[in-house]
Amino acid sequence: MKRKFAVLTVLGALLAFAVPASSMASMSPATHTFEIAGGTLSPKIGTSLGSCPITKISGTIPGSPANETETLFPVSTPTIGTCTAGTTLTLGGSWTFGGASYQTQLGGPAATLTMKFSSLPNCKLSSTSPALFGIWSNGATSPKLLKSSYHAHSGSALTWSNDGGTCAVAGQTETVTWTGQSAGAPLGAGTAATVTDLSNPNLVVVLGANK
Amino acid sequence: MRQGLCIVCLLALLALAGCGGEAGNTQPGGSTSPTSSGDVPTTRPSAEQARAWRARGRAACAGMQPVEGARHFKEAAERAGAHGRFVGLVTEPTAAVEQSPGYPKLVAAFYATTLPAPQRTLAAAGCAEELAARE
Repeated sequence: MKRKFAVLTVLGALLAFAVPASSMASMSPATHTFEIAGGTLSPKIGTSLGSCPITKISGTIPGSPANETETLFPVSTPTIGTCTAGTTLTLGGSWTFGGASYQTQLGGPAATLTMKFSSLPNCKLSSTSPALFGIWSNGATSPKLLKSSYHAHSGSALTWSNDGGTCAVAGQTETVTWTGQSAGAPLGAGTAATVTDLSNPNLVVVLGANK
Repeated sequence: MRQGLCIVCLLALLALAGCGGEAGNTQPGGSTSPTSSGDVPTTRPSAEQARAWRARGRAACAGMQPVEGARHFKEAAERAGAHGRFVGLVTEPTAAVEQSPGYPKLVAAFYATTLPAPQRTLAAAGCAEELAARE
């Protein structure tokens, strides 16, 4: 009886440890809705020909235990502000956000991103798996509320293609910039957007190591 | 025996609870609606402005071959913020890029990065006309 008990215990323990540790980061508070917004200094997606600000990134943190084990969470398609004249940005598909500790990724394999520029007709710049990388800084609630912040850091490569005509650089890639703005300074001086817990503005949205 | 079965069930339940950690983005909630924004000028150029911007582009690119124009505008475009790889694509084109019928338009767009955004479309169009005529 005791031997059977010991064997069952060992087998159970082995089963528990066999579950793959595939996740990297946790996000809390669970089930809360969060929003990353930069206002007039929102991060911008940019190329040599034009740029567009992303004024809002929002989503709902999964409930427990998924919020402590999932790496990436679904978010709403980011909100685009007013682009530079002649620039069009279209975002589609399903977007995700998350990452490992302070390094985050916005986009994902099911997201789409397309940019067009009226100064360069017959060309479009797009990706079916965009990745916009950012740096997350956790805030605090003591001694007073300090909201977490998000700093846009870099973007992935997009590909040029024909759009209703012949594009000279079709097939070539170009890496978009994804960076914060700074009033009065060259693009990339590095402002951060604030992360707000919309479910309870008195709390801090935290990104941390998984449990 | 009964105790052993209870323990197995408990351990199985614990193991299954750990399976919630499977990587993936299968949770519902994200919007899939496309979001688009862009060219929303607060004021459209007047006919006179439009003519002037187009003429400016023609004048800036007059008398040049496309690749010549690309190298002519390189420094100004870089000062205006044109990025490294794009600059290289335009100013040091591969044979395929340079021979593409779209290359004059590419150079024209490159030139247009040196201008204020509202002027770029029309100035690029004027410049492209001049460069295409010289090919």
